[in-house]
Amino acid sequence: MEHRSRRTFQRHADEILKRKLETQKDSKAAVENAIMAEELEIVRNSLQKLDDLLLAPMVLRYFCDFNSKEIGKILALSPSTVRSRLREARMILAKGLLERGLEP
Amino acid sequence: MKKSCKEVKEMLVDYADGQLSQSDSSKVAEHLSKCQECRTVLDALQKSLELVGVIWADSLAETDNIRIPFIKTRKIRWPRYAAIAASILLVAIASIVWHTSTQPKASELTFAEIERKITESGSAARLLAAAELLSDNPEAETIVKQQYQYIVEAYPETTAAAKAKSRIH
Repeated sequence: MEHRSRRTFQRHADEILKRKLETQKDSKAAVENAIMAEELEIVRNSLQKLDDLLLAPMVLRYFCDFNSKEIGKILALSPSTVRSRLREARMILAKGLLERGLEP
Repeated sequence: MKKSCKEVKEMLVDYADGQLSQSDSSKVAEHLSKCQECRTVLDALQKSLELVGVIWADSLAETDNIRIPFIKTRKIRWPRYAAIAASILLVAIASIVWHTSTQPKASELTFAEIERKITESGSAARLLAAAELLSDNPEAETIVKQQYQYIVEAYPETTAAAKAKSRIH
């Protein structure tokens, strides 16, 4: 009898531990999701505020795979201007995240 | 140290994009190994670009969602256009069949009609010529007028009738 109850206790304890770990994992994932959502919102806001002059080179560079020279031709700018605009745009977006406090 | 941080921060975007020369790149890397602040900035640069990528992909998916129903409605409408085209074709074919089937009859009729019209216009022209000869005589004016009236009434479709009509007025 004692033996049996101990076994059931162990089984219960195992289940409880497992559940606890899972909920911890879940809550960790939930927190990560929440942070990600918040960061996405920050970046989205920064993007909306970003001047088209800065946004256009960025989209062309990182999502259309053009280089600075090609972007210069498309937007009628010198490649160095394109690079400085890219730098400015990316620093603005990064600053948005830094102001909130980047998670390590 | 402070000035060096400022310099490095200006080069960080190019560093992340791999646009720096070998020597500049190694200088930045060396600074980064010592400076937590600049590392944080680099992290923020990379993370923000990743998130912009997510937003970009999201917006592309949204535009795809906008396009899909548009294509669907076009697909749904095709049978309708086909039905309209088919009905137009059907009407056209039916009218052609109708015309070809009625044409022999029509041509038979027109031969008789042509004959009738020729005789009609011939008689009308002869009557008109006679009336014009009579019209030289001023005493025959009423008879000539009656003649013109008769031509107009009896042979209404002929050119002589048209002429007679103009003489009356």
